[in-house]
Amino acid sequence: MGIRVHLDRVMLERGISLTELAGRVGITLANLSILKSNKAKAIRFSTLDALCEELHCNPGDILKYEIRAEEAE
Amino acid sequence: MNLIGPKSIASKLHLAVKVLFWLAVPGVLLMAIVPILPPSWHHNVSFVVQSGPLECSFDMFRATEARWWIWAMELVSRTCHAVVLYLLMRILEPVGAGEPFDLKTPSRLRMMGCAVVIGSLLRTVFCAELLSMGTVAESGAHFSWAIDFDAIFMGILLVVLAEVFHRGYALKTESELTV
Repeated sequence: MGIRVHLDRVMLERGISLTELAGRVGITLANLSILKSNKAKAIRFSTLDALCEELHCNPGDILKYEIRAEEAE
Repeated sequence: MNLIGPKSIASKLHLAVKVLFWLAVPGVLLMAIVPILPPSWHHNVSFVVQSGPLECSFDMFRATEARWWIWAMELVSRTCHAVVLYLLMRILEPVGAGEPFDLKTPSRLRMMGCAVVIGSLLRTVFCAELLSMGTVAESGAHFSWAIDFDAIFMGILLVVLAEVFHRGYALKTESELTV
């Protein structure tokens, strides 16, 4: 996947736990865990909106495009 | 009553197919051991081949050279039925549990389609071989045969259905991994 989720880094900077963020954003801990571990296939705008609002950040702080290893070669 | 999920029509159908499969297995095994039975036992063995391109009834003892072709044809037919029942049983298992789009359902449907087509073609080949032997009249059996297009169409339909389930599973996975 070219798009990487850096939720863990943003959460660390804000000092917020996964459980607390899940409660505030209104999504399940399991789904937030899927997003944090880069297993998610897609993210809804509403989820991204809620995350940015709670973490006081932009979508670009959470999502980053990384060149795949095979493309870099 | 629900169509899928626990205590649904699908779960009851799964149970029915399971019973049918376990009833079909002894039939296949019995058919497979016919050649190793003592010749005197063949007095008691008679086949009624009703499925596929051939329809005949014959006495294992009276039929001469043709009997082993008919036996092979009936064995193929029963084996295909058992394979289809087994695959249907495995397909209905997750449906009965409320998960119609299972990872293995497409491959099982594909295998089912192949079993139906291959079984039909083999029966046709055996039938053609029987007629070319010229011993049919001596065997005391009455034959009529044709290519079983219904079975071939059904097999192709199952393969197409497998692709539909494959897409369904991909959509389900994507939906589950959307947060």
